[in-house]
Amino acid sequence: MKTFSLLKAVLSQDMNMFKYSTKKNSSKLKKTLFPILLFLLVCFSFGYYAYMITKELAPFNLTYICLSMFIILVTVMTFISGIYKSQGILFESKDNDLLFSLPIKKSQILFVRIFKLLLFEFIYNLMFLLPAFVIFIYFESPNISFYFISLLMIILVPIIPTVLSSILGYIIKVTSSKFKAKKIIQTLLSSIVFLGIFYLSMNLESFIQDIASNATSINDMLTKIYYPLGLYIDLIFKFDLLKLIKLVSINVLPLIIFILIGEKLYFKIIFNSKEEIIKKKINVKKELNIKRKPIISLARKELKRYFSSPIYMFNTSFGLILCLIVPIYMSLKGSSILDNILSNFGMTSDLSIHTMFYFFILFVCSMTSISSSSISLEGKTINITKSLPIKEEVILKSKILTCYLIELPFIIIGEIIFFIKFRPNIYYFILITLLGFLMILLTACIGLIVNLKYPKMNASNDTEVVKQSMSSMVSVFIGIGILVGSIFIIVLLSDYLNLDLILGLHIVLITIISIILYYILMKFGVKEYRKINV
Amino acid sequence: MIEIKNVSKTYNGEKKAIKNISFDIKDGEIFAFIGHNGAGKTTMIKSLVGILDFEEGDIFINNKSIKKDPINCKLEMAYVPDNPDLYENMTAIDFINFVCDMYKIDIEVRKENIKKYAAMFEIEDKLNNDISSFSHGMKQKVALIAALAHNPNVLIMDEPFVGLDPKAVFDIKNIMKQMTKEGKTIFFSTHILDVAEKLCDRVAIIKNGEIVKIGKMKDIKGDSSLEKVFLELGEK
Repeated sequence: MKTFSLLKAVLSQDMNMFKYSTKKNSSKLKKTLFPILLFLLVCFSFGYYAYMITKELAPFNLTYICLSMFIILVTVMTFISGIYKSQGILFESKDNDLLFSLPIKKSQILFVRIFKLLLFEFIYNLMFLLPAFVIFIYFESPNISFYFISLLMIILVPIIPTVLSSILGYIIKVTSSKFKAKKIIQTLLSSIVFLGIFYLSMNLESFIQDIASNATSINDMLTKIYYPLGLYIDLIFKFDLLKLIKLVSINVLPLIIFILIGEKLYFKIIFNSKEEIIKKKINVKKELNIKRKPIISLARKELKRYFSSPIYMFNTSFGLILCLIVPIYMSLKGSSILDNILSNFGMTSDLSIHTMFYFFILFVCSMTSISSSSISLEGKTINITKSLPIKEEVILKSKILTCYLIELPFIIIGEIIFFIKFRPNIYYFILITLLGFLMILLTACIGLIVNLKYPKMNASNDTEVVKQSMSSMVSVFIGIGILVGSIFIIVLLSDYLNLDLILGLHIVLITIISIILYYILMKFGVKEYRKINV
Repeated sequence: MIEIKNVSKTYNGEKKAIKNISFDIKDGEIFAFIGHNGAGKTTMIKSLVGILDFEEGDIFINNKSIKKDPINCKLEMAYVPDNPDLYENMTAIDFINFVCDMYKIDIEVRKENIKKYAAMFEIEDKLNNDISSFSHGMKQKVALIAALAHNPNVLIMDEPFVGLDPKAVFDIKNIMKQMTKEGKTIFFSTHILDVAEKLCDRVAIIKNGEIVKIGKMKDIKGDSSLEKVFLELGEK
């Protein structure tokens, strides 16, 4: 009962985003309908993708391979996102003092926090698994046990990757706590782990070939890749109580062991992670002699906020780091790395290196949404800016400026490396430079508009804002939409029109959309900003 | 001068937090807002400083409407919130400078004021510390220095004495008195009736979003004490 009350209290803030009342306020209904529609749209897209794959596999009775692919995909995604989500939710919650002062068992607190991590993974995973299940049902018409086991599988899938990523998150937190510049080390270590996983996933081919050559059947291969998956596939075709117990135990036992053992280590690090008094080497006299324009001072404040939050930095830096690594790699080893990245998104590599790099810049900018969290992360301090003699427009502009200050150097350096090695013509040079500039503006405006529509001002840690808020979810979906939509249109039109012309038209289209969104932000965004009440 | 005219504020279209409030505060006056928790003090103050939009009425700061001309109104004012939620990732000097930049304060003026108030509140050696390492009282002092650094004509404070050490309370009282001598206006909310009684020219008692009593201190309390009057009005 106590655990339930605790769960209710801890999750109440997060669940507010799903609450609405049709009678009280119709805008709330609209606010909720949009994400639901977006969720369904993403489900439909993945469903279509699953259908296309399964259609090819069905004649060979291999429909379950698509299902397995989706389960492996969500397992890997849960593991990757869990690495940084766990650092925020487990170690940086602001309700530590409150919860530790209450008569609650430590294991209950840890359980509730792990549950919070898992809950959002269920929601994310549903987006992938639900369409995969529907397509499987469409082709196979399975018996009732499939429904039961699959429902159970939805609950079980995120447990092992979440436990593993929490352990990794713990190691990163312990290691970084030994350094003076904790937050930077934390971001650096997380990025190294993340890039390591990315590198491994790029080189999985030989590993899978190795397993395949030693496997007696496809299911044997899946079992060797991920044991619970093999069990699940066995169970959906032939129900076996013993295998079911085995499946549940394999997934649940690590969680129980983690809570029992982790309880002691977890609280040790929580109690020892109190911020030390940091006396910075700032020359107060020198600082007093600097007068900045309000917009510069505001952007500076935003930058300080950005660099103070490892989860915020890490969440947005992946694309930017790739923006440096990929051109360097391309300069040394050709375009194979771009082929790999784009083929992971289902794109063929029969495109010129210039077009691929254009798509790559589009990918980097679409996936980097700094502004979608910037208003929510202000929390109660939003009252400071609201009470100051500055126009709301300036505040919003400073947030766009911050996006430029963070993203532009990476994009420019990436583009320069590309220009030096591949020497494109002047037209392409102008196009790709404009693309970087415009996409930053576009994503910054989208992020701010979405964040103003779905602000989360009372989050108990940065992770809740950066990874688990409606604003960040909606922005990610829109980013994917822009990327996929742009590539789809460009590739489709390339059969009929000159590619240079298409890319030029694409830039014009982005310019028009950016100007419209900027206008909306300055006109209606300002009103929404004023309405925020903390 | 502050003029509050028929101001009403509703939350979520349901609960009226303040109802048709009107009063003036003259130049050189110290005015206190007294009321129970949830009476509407903070809502009134947040509306006054432009943090909250309100549906009915208007507020004028030196004849400028906060609704129509918020920037110029804010340039006249300084606000110290009840719970100083400052930018934790900044140092104290960073934060104070940030506020000064927003008011476009000249370097010489800010230098002089920051030095003066930092010395007064005894935090000169802590100006380059991260705000996240500060106690509630320290944060309150930083918020006060930032508020006073631009020589505001109107000072608005929400529960300014909570969490401060006696020396800081004494200093703030002196600053308030000094400011009123210069013809500046001070408006604050408080639970500490003793302070209100000794410091203020006039007070208003707010209950359930309505002003139940307003006037000069001696007219309100008569022969009684402010505490007694406040408790009696609260029971009604």
